[in-house]
Amino acid sequence: MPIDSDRLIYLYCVASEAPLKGASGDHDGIIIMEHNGLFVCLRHVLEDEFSESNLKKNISSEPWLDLHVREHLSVIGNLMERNTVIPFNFGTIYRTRERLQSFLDQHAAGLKSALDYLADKEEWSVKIFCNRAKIVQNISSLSRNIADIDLQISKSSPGKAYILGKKKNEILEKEISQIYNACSKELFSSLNLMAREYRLNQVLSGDLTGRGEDMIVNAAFLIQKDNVPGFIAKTDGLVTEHENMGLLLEVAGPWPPYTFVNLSD
Amino acid sequence: MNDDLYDVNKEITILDILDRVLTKGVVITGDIVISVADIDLIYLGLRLLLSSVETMEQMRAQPSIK
Repeated sequence: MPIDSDRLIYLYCVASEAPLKGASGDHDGIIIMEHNGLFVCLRHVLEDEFSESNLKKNISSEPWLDLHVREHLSVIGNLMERNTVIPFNFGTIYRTRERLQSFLDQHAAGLKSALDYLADKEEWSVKIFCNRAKIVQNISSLSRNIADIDLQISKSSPGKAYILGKKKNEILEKEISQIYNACSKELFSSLNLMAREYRLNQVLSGDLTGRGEDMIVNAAFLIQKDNVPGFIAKTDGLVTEHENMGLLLEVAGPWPPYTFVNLSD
Repeated sequence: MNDDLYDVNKEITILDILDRVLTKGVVITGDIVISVADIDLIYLGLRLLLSSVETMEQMRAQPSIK
């Protein structure tokens, strides 16, 4: 299909095979352009909205941004149902068809090998949170040091028990950190056993997550499609196994494989 | 929102999406792309927005003076 050269070309993703008609779902104006065995999903957009200066202006509007990033993700998500894709970042735009083709020619080998690698794999995100209040409530079963102090307190005179109680409060924060450390390593390792690749992202503070619980793992996993049901069952199992820590898992996917695209050329 | 995106707990937030579609993909290309400086501004804007929502909620939670 010809591309009108007086408009801008907005890129969604590159696919390894020709997507079926209607594969982009209900979104209008989506075009699949084939070039040397690569299938680029794109849309014509207007300078009024997507020129460099207008795009810059628009992304500072939260409703505009919200609508368009969700649409970006949705178009790619629909294609992912039947095709392996390499997603482009939101707001990747070419001025001409020639410029786009030149990009494809330059990166053809890298794009094809990335598509081969990503075939039959899915990206999933896992955020793990701990409920601090629940940990404090169950601290003596989670911390050997605290359990020892509790035992000493139970055998001590009121005066000594008071001093030991103060000591217990002093080491509480350190013990909770150690529990978080050990727990995050254990949980991450057991999930990673089922994945092909992982990336650990920064653990976010409560200010950013808006949650009362403490985040202890923020990870992305690349998982063989056949293993996804087992992976999800495993995350459910972890919640049950760690009930005394008030564990909460946020599992989301399949994401377009943003985290695992590696263009080596 | 993409209905196919599985999430056992909640709706995917704009921050979750931006963390992928702005910062993680193939960082090449494009005659026009959103620059790192623009991305910083987007995050700053959203965080200010989120914190102002929070402030409003806190204000609402204050007992009214009669």
